[in-house]
Parts: sequence; structure tokens; C-alpha cells
Amino acid sequence: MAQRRPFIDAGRRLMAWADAACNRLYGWRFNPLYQTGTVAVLLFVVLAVTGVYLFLFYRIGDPYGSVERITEQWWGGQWIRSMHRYASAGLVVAVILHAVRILLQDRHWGSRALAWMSGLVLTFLCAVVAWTGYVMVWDGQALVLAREGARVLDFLPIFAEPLQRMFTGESDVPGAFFFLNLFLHIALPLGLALILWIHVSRTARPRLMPPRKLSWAIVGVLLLVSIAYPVSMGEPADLLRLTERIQLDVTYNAWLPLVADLPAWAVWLAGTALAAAVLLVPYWLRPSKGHVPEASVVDAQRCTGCWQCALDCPWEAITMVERTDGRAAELAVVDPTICARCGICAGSCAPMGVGPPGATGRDQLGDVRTFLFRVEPGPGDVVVVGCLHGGGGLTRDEESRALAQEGIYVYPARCAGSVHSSVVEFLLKGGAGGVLVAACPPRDCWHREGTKWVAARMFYDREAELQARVDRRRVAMTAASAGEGREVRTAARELQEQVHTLMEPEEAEMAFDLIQACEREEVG
Amino acid sequence: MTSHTTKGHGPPEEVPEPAALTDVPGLGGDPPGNRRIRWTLGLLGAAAAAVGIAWLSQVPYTVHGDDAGMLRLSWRVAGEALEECRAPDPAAARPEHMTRDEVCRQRIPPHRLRLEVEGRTRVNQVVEPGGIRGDRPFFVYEDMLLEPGVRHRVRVEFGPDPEAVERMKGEAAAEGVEMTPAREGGLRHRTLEREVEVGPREIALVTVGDGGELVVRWADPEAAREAAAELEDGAPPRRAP
Repeated sequence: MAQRRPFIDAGRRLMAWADAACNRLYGWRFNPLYQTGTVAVLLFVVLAVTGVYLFLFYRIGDPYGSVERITEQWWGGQWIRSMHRYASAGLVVAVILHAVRILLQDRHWGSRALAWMSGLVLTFLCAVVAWTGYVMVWDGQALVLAREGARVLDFLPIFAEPLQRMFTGESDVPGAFFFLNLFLHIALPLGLALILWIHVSRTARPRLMPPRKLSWAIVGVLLLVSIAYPVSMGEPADLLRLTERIQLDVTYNAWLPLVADLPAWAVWLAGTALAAAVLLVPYWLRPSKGHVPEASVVDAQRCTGCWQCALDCPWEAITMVERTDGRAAELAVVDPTICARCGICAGSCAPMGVGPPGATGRDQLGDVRTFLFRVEPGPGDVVVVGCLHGGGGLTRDEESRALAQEGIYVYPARCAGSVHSSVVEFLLKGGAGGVLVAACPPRDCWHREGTKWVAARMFYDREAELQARVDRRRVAMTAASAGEGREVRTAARELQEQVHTLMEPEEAEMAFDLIQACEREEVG
Repeated sequence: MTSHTTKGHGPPEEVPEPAALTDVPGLGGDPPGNRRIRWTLGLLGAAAAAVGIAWLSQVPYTVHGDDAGMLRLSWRVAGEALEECRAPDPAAARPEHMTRDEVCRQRIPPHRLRLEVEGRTRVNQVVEPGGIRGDRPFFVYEDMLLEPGVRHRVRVEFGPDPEAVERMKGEAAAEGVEMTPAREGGLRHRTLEREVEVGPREIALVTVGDGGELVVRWADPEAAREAAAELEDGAPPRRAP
């Protein structure tokens, strides 16, 4: 029985709706919601490129004046600075969406906790880099940020003298402060690259950039907005005058109004509690004991040492080792501490010797047998092998019951990529007229590469391929998010129509009559 | 695009894969619906998101909404030290040239900061010297809002806390040692008493001047010059030079 988590379920419904809306507008290839992580990296690159230009003109001896001169360059500096600023704001939005998505998709616990935690470190460092960036301008916002930052940091008993002294107006802010600030603004992003490497270290074939067209589109939109709505200069920082109004960047500095009236200890307490709560998400929101799926195991007797499971594993959890039983081939070994329990290895193994307990290829065939016995599909019927996470959300009980009235039956799969190609063949042999594999959109597979591998196995002879003897006219594939039930239903009906054209006339008539009879019964 | 895969045992060989997943039947093609409407809505959506992000990065925020000015006390100053001198320990036999007549040790007592505005005490607190051993300078930082455009009589005092001094002297006396001010002329108490007026959102900074005395500084040098002129004319001080 599935675990009940009302907030997560509500979030998933919202995410499915947003995904479906964006898919209708942009298609799954260019859906930005599927690219939040790579969009964040792209924006980081934009920040680096525009930052190099700004660095050439920035002067630590005249921070405000030099930024003002950059902003006055209507032909370049103005929009480059705006792009730098908007890319950083966009980075925050992308990172938040990425984290929420990972949370809702249950991709944060177990072996993936490392990515969650390194992601938090990345986010924190981005915030620090942003803080130094805002202070570099040395306008009203910079002064407020500098004072608040110094006030909070002074709580730590590690400074020889309070940092706040620099901003009281007793003397000018020392140039060393702006030098250190600039140094951190450049050095910390170099550290970010290292942590990004840790962030993706447990994924095979990590994608770091969005599709090229989407990348250019994002850069183009950023550029247009920067030209049309450039960033303005605030009033210069004045240490002996209270700042009246500032242009606050709430993407990074929304905390400022919240902490303004809090004592430093309370800020530290609240910040530490928040950080601890977010860090502990992998622990708090992991599936409860009875619901944690088991890691894949290898049946040494069946393993032929073909490497395919090791190659297909999206988490590099499978390694090949020398056998000790005298057989010539190597043996696949699953590292349970890295295994994400996706079951993709089960679909990759032709002899069905690997997979999570109860979900290997052989287990799947047993399930199909039970399924066929229960639904008894006819030659005009279609079975939708639907991914539990996406696949148009047809695996929900009410959806599958409604479709059964039309001769479309839903066979749920933990991930389309985990479905062994023999399952498709067995369903057809078991009487179904056609099989539609409904996967998640490739960029949104909860297990990263399930859709890619199942497509390659079915249509491009990737091991373990769908056998040549299977009539490809009876097999189809579609990719849809959980909110795109209509699209999957349409694809299933189209396959059903195609199947009808392949049937003997008498057979087709019977199947048609059956559908009509069901519809009449339903209307009646 | 190619991928490693195998047919049987041994190292993987390469087999063709779809150039892109859009080549896979059922996965390619445009989303359903009118392309023109889709493009228009898509562009509008992207523009709205970008403008939204741009707006979020420049939200007007009021830091100090009213016109109040501020009196800021801020300085870093070495503390007034007390000194105790003892005869050298006879047990620590040293050569003649390394022996002193007496060994002196300085200790800085906590200081007391007192601020009165219009005769009313607004701050009255003990300030500890900086550093773990209490031998570093004092750092004072206090902000207080003042009504703008009004002359305020301000009195600031900063000096060794009498109670702390007595306590330290008592402790030394118990050991048979006398504790005296390290500076000739005794412990110094700094005092500033004057009328101060601040403009809207203006900060009057009370700090320690070059001569070690408490002074007031202003953001606007012009205003300071005017104040100096008023003083020379014998008019009551409005702003301090």
C-alpha cells in the first residue's frame, strides 16, 4: 500500500499540472521545468561570462563610481550588468524549482542524499557569492546588506574587532574590504565548480547543459529583458545617513526585512534551524521502513557477464568483477549503497538475472501472467504499460477503470525503463492486440534514463531488445507527464484503431461489437 | 549518437542508437494544438517569467520609513588601565642585568557608558574591554533615533566604572599591593555635553577625536561649517563642527 503524504501528493498534482501546461506550449524537449538543474548551470555560465566584462571595469578604489560608469555604457555595460543581475535572480528561481522537484519526485533520500546535501552547499555558496556581488556596487542596498551581515557575523567570537566598525562612519570603509569582497566574488564560484562535480558524481552520463535551442532562447530572453528593463543604480552608500529606500533583490535578500529587528543570536538560531531542517529532508521524508524498496540483486547463475546492466544503470551502481566460480565471463555486482532502486537493470538483462527482488524480468512475467488472467484482453484491446510516475497518470485506479470500458487496459510499471521487453511480447502473445508503453518525458524520468533505454530496446535493438518476431505495428510508445492523461488516452486509441486495421475482418467486427456493447451498457 | 552494448560475453561493442529521442516513434513531433497560438503563448509565458524575475530583483523596499535622525555612538579606544607594581620574586634568581626593581602589571577595568538625552538616561551600561584577556581596546556602538529638526541636549560619559575600579583595587589590596592609575594624572573620564540637532535621516556620530576627546561628526561638511560659524558668532551651537 502506498504511503500517504498529503503535502507531497498535493505538490505532485500541482507539478503534474504545470508540467502538462509547459509540455503543451514547448514540448517535452524544451520544457524548462524539466531542465531546472541544467538551466541553473547555464545561468551560472552566463554569470561567469558577463562577470568577466564587469571585472574589467570595476575599481575597488571607487566601487560605486565604477559601477555607475559601467551602467552608463548604454551600448554594453548597462545590459551586461543587467544580464549579470537577472541571471543571478533566475539562478535562484531555477535552484528552488529544482529542489522542489527533487523533493516531490522522491529523489532525495538513500544514495541520492549526497546530491541533496551538496546541492544545499551549492545554494548556500551561491547566496554568499551574491552577497559579495551586491556589496560590490556600494549603494544603499549594499550598505544595508553589509551592516546586517557584519552584525550577524559579529555574533561569532572569531573576529579580533567587530566588523560593524567598518560601517559606522568613523572613517571610510577600507579598500581592503572591497578587495576581499571582490576576491571572494571571484574565488568562491571556482569552488562551486568543484561542488557541482560532487553534486553529479553519483550519476552516469550527467547532463550539465539544457538543449542548445533552449539555452539560446534563455540567453535571448535574458538579453531582451536586460535591454528593455535595465538595472538602475541606487543612491550611493552614505555611512552617516540613514538609508530610506532601496531596490531590494528579493530573490536573494528576502531575508533582510525578516532579520532587521531580530538580535544576532536569534538570526543564527533561525538560520541554523532552517539549514538543519533542509539538510534532514532526506531523513525525514524518506519512505518509512515498510515502504523502502529493496536494492537490485544479481542472480549469479543467470548473469552472463554481458555488461549491459552496468552500462544502463543511471547511477553507476553496478560493477563487473571477475567470477570466482570458474566460469569465464565476469559477474555483475550491485552496490546497494548506491543503487537507487529504479529497476532499470531488470529491463536491461536479457537472461533476466538482475533487478530488485520481486521485480526482475522473471517476476515481471509472473505479474503479466496474473494481469492477463485478470483482464483477459482481446485482439482489439490495447494494454498500456504505464509508468507509475508519469505516463499520463493512467495508473490511477479511476483512470484505469474508465479506460477498461474501451478495451484499454493499464499495466502499471515502477519505471518504464524497468520493463523487460519480454513483457511487451508476452502481453501480445497473451491476447492483447497492441501494447503502448507510456513513459515519462525523457528529460523528466524519475530515474533519469528509463525512457531512453526502453525506447532503444524497443526500436533500436539495444540489449535486451524486443525480439524481431514481434509485430512492431502492434507496439507504440508515448511520453507524457502525470498530467497528460488525455495525450496518452489519444495515443492508446490511435494504436487501438491501428490494431483494428490489422485484424481479420470478423475478428475486428467482434472487437468493435464488444466496444459498442460496453458503451451501450455504460449509457444504459 | 552511439552507445556501448554487447551481444554475449566480452567487452562491449558499439551499436547505433537514435540520434535523438525525438526520432523514436511516438516521442517526436510538435505538441498538439495550433502552432501559432502555441508559439504566441509560449513567448508570452517566457517573457512574463523573465519580467517577473527582473521585477523580483528590484523590489522597492523602505528601510527607514520616517524622517527620524539618529545619534550614533561609535568609537574604538584604548581603556584606562590600572597598574600594580610588586617587588620581583626573590626565588626567581636572575643575573643582575636581568633584574628589575619592580614588576608592574596593567589591568583595564570595565568602563561605563552613559548617554543622557534631555536629561533622561537612555544608555547606562558596563562595557567590557575587548580580547579574551581583556587587554584589547574598547569598542562602543550604540544607535538611537532622534526627532529631526529639534535641538537635543545630549550628554555622553565614558570612563572606568567606579565600582569595577574599587573592586580591582580591593582585590589588589588584599594581596598587599597598591593599584594605581597607569596614566599620570589619573583615570580619564571622557564627557561630551552639548546641544545636537539632526536632519531627516541624518546621523550625528559621537566618536573619539584625534585628541582623545569625544566629538560629534556629521555627514554634511557644509552643515558642519555652518555650525562652526555659528559658534564663532557666539550663537548657540546648532551643529558641531
